Amino acid sequence: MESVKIAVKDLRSIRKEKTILVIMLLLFFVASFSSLIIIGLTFLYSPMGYATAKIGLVGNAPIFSSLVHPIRYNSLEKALEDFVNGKIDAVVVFNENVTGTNFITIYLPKEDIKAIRATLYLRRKLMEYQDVLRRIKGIPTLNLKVYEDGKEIEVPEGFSLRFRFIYVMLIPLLAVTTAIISSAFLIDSICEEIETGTLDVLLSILDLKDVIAGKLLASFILSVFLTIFWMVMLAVNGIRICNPALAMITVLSICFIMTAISLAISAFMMDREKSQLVFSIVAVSVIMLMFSTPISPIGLLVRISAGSSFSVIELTVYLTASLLAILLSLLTAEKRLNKSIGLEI
Amino acid sequence: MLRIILLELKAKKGWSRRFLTLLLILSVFAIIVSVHSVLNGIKIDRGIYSTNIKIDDPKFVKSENPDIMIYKGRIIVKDNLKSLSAYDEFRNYIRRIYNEWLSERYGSSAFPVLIRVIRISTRVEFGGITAGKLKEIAEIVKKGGSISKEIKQEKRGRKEFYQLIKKKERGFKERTQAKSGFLTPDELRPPSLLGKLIYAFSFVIPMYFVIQVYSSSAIEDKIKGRFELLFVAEDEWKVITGKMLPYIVLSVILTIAIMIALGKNLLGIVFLIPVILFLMALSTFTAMISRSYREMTFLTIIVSIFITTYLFIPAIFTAIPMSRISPITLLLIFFEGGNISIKEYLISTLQFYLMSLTLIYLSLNSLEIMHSQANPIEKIVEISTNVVNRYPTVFLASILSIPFVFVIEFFTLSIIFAIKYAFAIVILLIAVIEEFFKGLFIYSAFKNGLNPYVSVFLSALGFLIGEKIILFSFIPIKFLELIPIPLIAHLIASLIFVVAMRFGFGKALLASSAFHALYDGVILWSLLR
Repeated sequence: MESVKIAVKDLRSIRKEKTILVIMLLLFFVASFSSLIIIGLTFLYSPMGYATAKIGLVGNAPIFSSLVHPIRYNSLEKALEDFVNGKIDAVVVFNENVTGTNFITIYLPKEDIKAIRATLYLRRKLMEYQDVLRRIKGIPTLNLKVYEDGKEIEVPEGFSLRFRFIYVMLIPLLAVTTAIISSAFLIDSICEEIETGTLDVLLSILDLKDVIAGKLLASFILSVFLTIFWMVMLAVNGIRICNPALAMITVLSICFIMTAISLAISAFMMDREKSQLVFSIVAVSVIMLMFSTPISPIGLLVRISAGSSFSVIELTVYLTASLLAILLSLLTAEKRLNKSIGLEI
Repeated sequence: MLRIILLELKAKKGWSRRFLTLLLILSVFAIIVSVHSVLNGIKIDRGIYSTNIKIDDPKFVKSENPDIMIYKGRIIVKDNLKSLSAYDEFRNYIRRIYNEWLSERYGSSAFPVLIRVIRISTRVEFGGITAGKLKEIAEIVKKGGSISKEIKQEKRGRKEFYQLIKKKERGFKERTQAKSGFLTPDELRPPSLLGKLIYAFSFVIPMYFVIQVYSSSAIEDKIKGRFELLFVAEDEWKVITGKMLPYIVLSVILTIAIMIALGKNLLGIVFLIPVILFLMALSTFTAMISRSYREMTFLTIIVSIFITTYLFIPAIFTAIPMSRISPITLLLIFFEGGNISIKEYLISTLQFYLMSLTLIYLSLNSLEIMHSQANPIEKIVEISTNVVNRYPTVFLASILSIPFVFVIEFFTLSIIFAIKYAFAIVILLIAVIEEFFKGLFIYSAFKNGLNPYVSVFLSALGFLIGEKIILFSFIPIKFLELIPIPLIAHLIASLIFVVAMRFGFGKALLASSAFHALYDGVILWSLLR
């Protein structure tokens, strides 16, 4: 019960200082920055986005021309001049060789946005061209047919980018941001009590274990609140999270792991400056590891929120492990703080 | 000042050798892990898709209710994002298998198209192609070669290619193409925007760590009352700059170390020094106005977000002239071997130097109120009242506030994409931001006994001039004749502010912003119509 009071006190302070607004703004930023990229990707990879690239050709290439309908140029200089002036989107230079290998030089814009459109268009056309040449040589070509509801459909190249971006980048990023915020909050609230000496006052009326548990509770409530916030934000933007409850549990396991680390660090450093520094370096390693190993709670979060298959055992293991980490961290922190505070008195 | 620097270094000596060793070990570990992760790529996409048969791609698992069904040579998908995406990735997998099979069975003749890509900057100055650009083209033509030269290169290329095929036969997965410079059509990929951002970000990351230590140390000095002691011994500005200097040097060293590690031209640092200075000055200022560690942490986070947006979003859109407002855009162009004129360098960096100086000046003027319990906004009003006490300062403050306004406005612009139909909100926010700064100076001047109507004119004029200096660096000069209209709009908005001022700062701000938003809305509507 005592720890609930401590948690309420800490949460009140973030409400009073309006820092909660800043945190929400931070998550909002992560989401809006990502939406910017998602919208860009959707536009660029839609068939509309690259249907209209204008290609200039220097050289003699009848089959290629019949596929691409390029603007013909007699000299590279003239073609590049038009290219730089924006009259054409790319310049292709080669003389067609039906029986041998065609070495093609392509001039593309250095500016990324312009280059993406021209590149996607040329890639598609050159693949068609390659198929035509292969057929002439009698080499079998790959002809994939895809059906939806009995009708043949066409799926644009790079279509999966948007899906990948939402589920493999954005959602993990929001989860990690939540975990970092609740850990940073925990470090601040513990170190502040130690440095300003208010911890001694608290300890005269409360047990150390209750104080630490209260701080943990506050950071837990903060993570739940923030996770709900960004999940709602995604839903408003039409991004669906399958199994929101299980996704929440996974996010919380990630938060628990990070807060367990931050609690141990602040108990050992007992200084905000040092703790935050050590924590951010450790956090970089932990997050990097979580992203680059196949067995990780972030991977599970990806699969749960995308509606892919996952095992309940994995979920249980992460949750139990993270809870154990918290418990272990709590006990270590208590032992460590008891010792050093006892020394001070 | 040397004394302060030594003192700061000494304070860090309080960090025991054990702590420093720990930091070193952790950093080395973090670097190893990061490099390992970057090399291995993201693995969290394992098993996100499903098929009805088992395939040799870790992204796919076998499932009863699969995203894509492979049945009698047909692929069947469902009408949802996931299923269509699964097909897109499945197609890439099939192509890979097919290419491996082709190269085993037919060798080099199965790859009749090989591509070499040359990238040219197509940015054109206003008024068509310039002489410099023509010269550049001529050089490219000379280097890249005329058609006859192409054919010679083809022969050389062919030799390289056959070696490549040999290697391919040994193991298709070896990425030898990158070395020979020739790609098959499948391998022709558009530039990755995200990759570029991450790459640019790697130069800025160490700064954020240094900032964290510096801001902690600054607020600790403030809360523990060490600043007061130092001010007795040394000039105030010497204390502040002396405290910042070691951290600035450290940031520069770390950034240069990263440039060396990535094999970049070290001159690139000239684009980052103003950013480092600015972040330091900003941390000093936030340390001065925040009440607690927590408030400091979160203020630092929020301003870092603003700055990050301002620095990085333009770097994506390099095709737009306005993108050169960010030093990061210039840095990337510089690393890619592009030319940057002195004028461009000045436009993009001068604002950061100016903002740094302004922030340090404001920090020095906030020493009296640094322990006050007022909230940060109230403190900003107080500091502004300390500073804006004469007519010329109203004008000057308005001009100097423009870069800050721009930074915040850039952030609001990124919101457009997050909410549907957010134009109205963005217009309103931009109006509130501009009116806040203008109103702030008028209000401060008024509190210092100056005539509000004179201040209205001065601040509107200062604002307009500052705003247009930045804008006109990027857009043609012929729009200059349109200036009187915005000037009148700025004036009216500020007059509304003055009239409403008797009801308090907040209400006055609301009234003037409402007018300003209405004006912007009408202009935008008439432009788009």
